[in-house]
Amino acid sequence: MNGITIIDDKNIADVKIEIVSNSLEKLFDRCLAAFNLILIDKEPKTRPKKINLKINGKNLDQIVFNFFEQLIFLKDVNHWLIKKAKIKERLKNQIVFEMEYQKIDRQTVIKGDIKALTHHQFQVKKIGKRYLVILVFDL
Amino acid sequence: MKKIADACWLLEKDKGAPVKIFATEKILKTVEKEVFLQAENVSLLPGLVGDVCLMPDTHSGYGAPIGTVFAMDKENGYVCPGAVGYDINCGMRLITTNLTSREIMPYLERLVNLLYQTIPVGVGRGGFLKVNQTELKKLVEEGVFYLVRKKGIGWEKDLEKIEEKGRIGGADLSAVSSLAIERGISQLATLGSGNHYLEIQRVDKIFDEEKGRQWGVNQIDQITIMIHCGSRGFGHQICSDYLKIFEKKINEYSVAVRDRQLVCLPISSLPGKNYLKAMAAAANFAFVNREAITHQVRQVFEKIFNRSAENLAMNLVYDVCHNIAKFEEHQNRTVLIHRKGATRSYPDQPVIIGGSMETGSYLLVGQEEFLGRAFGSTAHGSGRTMSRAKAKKIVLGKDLWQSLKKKGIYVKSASWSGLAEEAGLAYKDIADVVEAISLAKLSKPVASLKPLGNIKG
Repeated sequence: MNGITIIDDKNIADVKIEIVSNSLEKLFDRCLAAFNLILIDKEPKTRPKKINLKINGKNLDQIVFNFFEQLIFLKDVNHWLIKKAKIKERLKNQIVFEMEYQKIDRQTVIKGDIKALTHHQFQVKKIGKRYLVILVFDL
Repeated sequence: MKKIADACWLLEKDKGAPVKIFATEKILKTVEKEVFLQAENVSLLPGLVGDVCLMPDTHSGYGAPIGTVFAMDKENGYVCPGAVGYDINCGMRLITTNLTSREIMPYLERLVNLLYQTIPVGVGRGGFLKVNQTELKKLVEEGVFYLVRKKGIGWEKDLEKIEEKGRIGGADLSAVSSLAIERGISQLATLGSGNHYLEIQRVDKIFDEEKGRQWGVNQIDQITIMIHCGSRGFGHQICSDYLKIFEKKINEYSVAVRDRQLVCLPISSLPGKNYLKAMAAAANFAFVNREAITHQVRQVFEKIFNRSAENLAMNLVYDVCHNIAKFEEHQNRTVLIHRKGATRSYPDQPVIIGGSMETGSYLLVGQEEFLGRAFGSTAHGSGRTMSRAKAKKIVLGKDLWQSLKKKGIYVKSASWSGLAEEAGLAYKDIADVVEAISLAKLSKPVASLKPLGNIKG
């Protein structure tokens, strides 16, 4: 998938992914896409709804980490699948996202349940205009 | 690598605590280089007492390899959340019945289907046990005692058959974040997914008849039930929260680690103490989870066979942790044992080691004379040999399901993809692991168990 690489033969510990992009907006788009690529086999049939969510962090590292933590939390507690996450506002130590979500229903087929974003090899780098995220999900 | 005893090797290196690997030559050849690098990083942790031990089912993990055991001094040692793991008290439970495979086969598909309908697996389904925060506090602080005696779920006689009687002391919900609490409340009494499962098995071989009889494993083709699951999102969030907290504090305590997942702080520090309180809460959550699931399993069997669970002799053999940190006495010293993908193996204590859906599992026993080998520890499973992504490229879930069905194994899984990830070829051969455990004198085999039916997320 564009900008998303699953690194499958160097990591037995569940799934390692590399995400690259040329903009912050695309970075979060691709982070969400990577999450759903691992999580979902067949999407729900429920009606999509929208919500604004604030993700806090002292730096981009923390914001990206907390973004994924929020996706996991919403999946586990609300049974939501986040379909879109658009940056609505960028503040100091916070990004506000407009998120579109669907409630997970009986039609939904889960491919791999993501239980945590590990700290193992987790990196967020900006090299020139390019963003790079390397992460390992615990399934 | 230097061989120092039967199925026991010493990793040759310059610095840090000694690293002992319990493995046959056959297994050693399959262990990835990453395991040795990770083990070396673990051996450099401050405060270690004795050796860092790797079990025969070891494979690479986050920070510490799966199958790592080490000890820290109670007063001067450190606690390392990454060396317990995300799924705190992921563990195994074995239940006997007085049914035989001949009696169960006509009902197998119906039984597995009803178990699958009844016990939530995967994502999107909550469990039958609905609690608020006040009640969650009681469950995680008092453990299975509260579930059985106050909620009337489970059997009183199960308590004696659970490690620490289903309650690790010192649990405190106030040390747990609201994120973890919310995840926990929504997932109580659910099985989970990934390599978690509930399996109906038949006794294939009995190696120690006397011990088997003592534990209710009496005959070949006897039906048993195995449950493998842990503390769900509750434990995962606790680990994640404390890794963040520890990382922020690491400079204050002048601790340096090679891998950020191995971040550790003094046991006596405030964050260290809080982690242990939260970890104990997660451990008790997992004990409660497995007892609640057992309650539902008993109900399903009652419905299918029209007999009470007591009449079916659905007794607990044992329930044991394989991701935990506990204070234990070893060689006249109180130490904080960290077990990540390793099982306690005390004298006369049942040890339950789960294999893949295709190869089966084992019941073993700890022995007095084995205690000093690896802090009274042994392996926990057969150990992955390849990543999930790679397994899915080699195996198609639907094909695997057909092939298992032809072998007489009926599986109900939430996804074909999840099934493929758990194919037998993704794991070491359990028989090889048990051979290594026996040769290394970690535990002794009592019985082998083969799968007949399985539900997984």
